[in-house]
Amino acid sequence: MRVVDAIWEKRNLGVDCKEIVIEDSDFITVVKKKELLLLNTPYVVVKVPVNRFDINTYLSNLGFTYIEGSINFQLRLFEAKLLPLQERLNKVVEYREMESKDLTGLYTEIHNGLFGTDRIILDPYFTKEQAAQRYCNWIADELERGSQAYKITYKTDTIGFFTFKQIDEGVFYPFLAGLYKKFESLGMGFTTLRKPIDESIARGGKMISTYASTNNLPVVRSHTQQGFLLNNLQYVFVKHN
Amino acid sequence: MDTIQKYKEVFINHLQVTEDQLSTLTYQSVSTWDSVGHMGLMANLEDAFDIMLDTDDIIDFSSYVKGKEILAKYDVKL
Repeated sequence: MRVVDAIWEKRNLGVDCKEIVIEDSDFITVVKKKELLLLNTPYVVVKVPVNRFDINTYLSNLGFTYIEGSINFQLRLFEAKLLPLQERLNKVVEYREMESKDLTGLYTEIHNGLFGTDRIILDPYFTKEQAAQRYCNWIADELERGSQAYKITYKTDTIGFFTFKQIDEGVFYPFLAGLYKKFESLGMGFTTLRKPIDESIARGGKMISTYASTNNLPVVRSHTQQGFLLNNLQYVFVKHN
Repeated sequence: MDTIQKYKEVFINHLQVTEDQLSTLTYQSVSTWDSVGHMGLMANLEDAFDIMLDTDDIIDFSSYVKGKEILAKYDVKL
């Protein structure tokens, strides 16, 4: 079990937050030893591996709420696939690393509701504005640490974006991606997954590892359609004290 | 089978909807018509009518009704 003092959430959400990650091998007795922390920290997030009904029940009895499943998807790049029609569209959609004015546009899109299925925006204790600002802070922090952000373009329009982070040799993690509001009804959502694949291939990579929420079924479907395999799943519980 | 029936059946079979839903059917109005479903729908329409849709038309294809206008450009009379 890992207990993380999520200090970044104090800045993002204005609350003290602890994130507890339960491992497969953790006994329920070990988790119960953290009961004071679970019941006294203002905002607690617990990530539970599958098949731990004992811990799920314990958390429910303490008043925790199940808020999402967090899926870790992995794709070995040689297994990436597209439908023939998507191949055609992918050829006319381009991507380019963002400049500062593009980032400003991205942050505006986020504040206008680009994301709507995460555990913050769905939680009535938080506001949409807090959820949006949390994403902006996350992106800014990652760029500061050397990650990249790319814009996805069709003709003269920026239709979406993806971020890009190397987490191991040949392994890349596009930690956030999305289609801009005005263009989300165009059937181009697949490009937000495909362009990071193209960039990984261009960099000589071998794998992409990324996460999707079970609250966002279209994104889950899109991952499986493009060849991603489910590598891991965690149940996420939250509680406000 | 006449062309309008063929058009309807592509939607009914691919998006798993009923005929009475068609007139108001729009992108993302049912869970099966998402980004993934859209690509399959466009591919099935291309096969059914032996056409190749232009990129802009694939993007503009936002509803059952709009699709009729688009297919008219390819001499598919519905």
